[in-house]
Amino acid sequence: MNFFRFSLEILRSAVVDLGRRPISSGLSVVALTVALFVLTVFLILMHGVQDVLTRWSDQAAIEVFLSAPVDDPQVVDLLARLEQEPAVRRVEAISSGQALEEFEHLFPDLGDVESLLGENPFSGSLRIVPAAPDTQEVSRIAKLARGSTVAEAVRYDRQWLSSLARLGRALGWFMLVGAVVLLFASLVTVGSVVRLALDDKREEVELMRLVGAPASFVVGPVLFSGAFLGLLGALLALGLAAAGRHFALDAAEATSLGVLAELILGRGLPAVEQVAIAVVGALAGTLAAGLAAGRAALR
Amino acid sequence: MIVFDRVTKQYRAGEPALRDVSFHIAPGEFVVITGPSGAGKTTLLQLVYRELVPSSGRVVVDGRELAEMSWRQVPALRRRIGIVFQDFRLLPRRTVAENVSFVLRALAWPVSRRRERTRRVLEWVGLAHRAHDWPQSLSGGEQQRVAIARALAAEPRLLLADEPTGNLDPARSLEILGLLREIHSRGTTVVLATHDMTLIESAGVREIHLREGRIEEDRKVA
Repeated sequence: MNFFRFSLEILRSAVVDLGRRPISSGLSVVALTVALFVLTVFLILMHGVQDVLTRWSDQAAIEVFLSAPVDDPQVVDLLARLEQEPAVRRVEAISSGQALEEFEHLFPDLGDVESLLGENPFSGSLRIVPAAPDTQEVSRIAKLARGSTVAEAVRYDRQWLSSLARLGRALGWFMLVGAVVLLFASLVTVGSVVRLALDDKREEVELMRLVGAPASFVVGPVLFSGAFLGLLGALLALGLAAAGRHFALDAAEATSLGVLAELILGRGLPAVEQVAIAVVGALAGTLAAGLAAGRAALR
Repeated sequence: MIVFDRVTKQYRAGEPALRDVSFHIAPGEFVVITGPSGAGKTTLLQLVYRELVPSSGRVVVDGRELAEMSWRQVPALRRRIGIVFQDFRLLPRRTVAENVSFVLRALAWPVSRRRERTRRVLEWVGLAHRAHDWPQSLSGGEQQRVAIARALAAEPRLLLADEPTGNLDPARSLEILGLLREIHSRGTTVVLATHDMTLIESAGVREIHLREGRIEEDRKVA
């Protein structure tokens, strides 16, 4: 039997089967599209949130306010120890004079603060920039600094970042669970459509068996229908997600949310993950069709 | 071509449908399996195309023992067998020509060869002019002729006909019998199961008579 001709017959049979039930086929595509759209949006947001967290983490620093001048041997020792930490990217020593200068530069209207107060109110400090946005490591570094006798106070703005990361993770799980539930529901829908199509052509299937059509000719169109529905759903989901992203970016551009929208949505979904979603769609459709048909097509 | 060697078929409940049945059908023979309803005629045919496997004994078709055949090998066996049923089993949403070519499509014949073969078998059964009609618009006899055309489409070496005249009047029954004899005269082995004894008297063929699952008589009808 010519393989190419045989495959064409399977393809033709699958398309005819789908065409016979346009409404239910359409409904399964919609169900799969919704499920995979949620999954795609989830991935885009996760990538965006991850990028934002990384950027903010890069900008965040641990401030160690010192009870001694920056050239004090204990401070120099602390600085050296911090610089040796792999979790630390760099450490800057800021003297009380530099801190005053910085303040006066930022707030020139306040005039000469030292003369006004009779002394420089700023203490020296160490500004530690972490190597990575790892909240556990940051906490460890802060603890290390706090343990020094010359550290008067340690302040780091990691707690809200940590909360944001937790929120991001929770949101991610919520969307992932939602996408899985929707995907399962859409698999059941695809399975039902395939089962209905099989019931509809029970006589044909019976005849195919009696005339000696190979099992692959009976099962092939069933699996292909499922794969086709799944792939179509995935492509629609990707298209909708891309259109939605562009729309959101355009809409947010003129508002105060523009920068945030660009940060979160600007990168979009990498090509590899888009292909992966298309493959997941096709495989999910095939799996649903295969499970729904089961041995019914072979008996 | 077909060998039944002490074949018994027992369904889950009730009496055996066939008991210790043995016979041999040579290539090119025309054999009529007769007997009242429930005698085991349909079971016997189903064993030949391996819809069923015997509870004991051997069924051999074309040198292959069917019980040893895996389900993957069954399609190859069936491609060599044409089957005609009492209830025609035509697909209502396909035209006469599509019903015939459907078989060839399932066997992936090329389109041009498929068209040619469909035209030829429909001409042969005298229904070429109804090729584009729906099966429902045909008479019972015509529908059965379409079913025979479909069974012959893939050029089988063996034709099994299970009560093909059961739903037809006597005149149409004789017409179908004539067609089956013509098929036989072209070299195809024909096994016809029927309870219509008048059909046999006019046939002049070998008769295997079944009663309660046993062979009561195996004779050549004069």
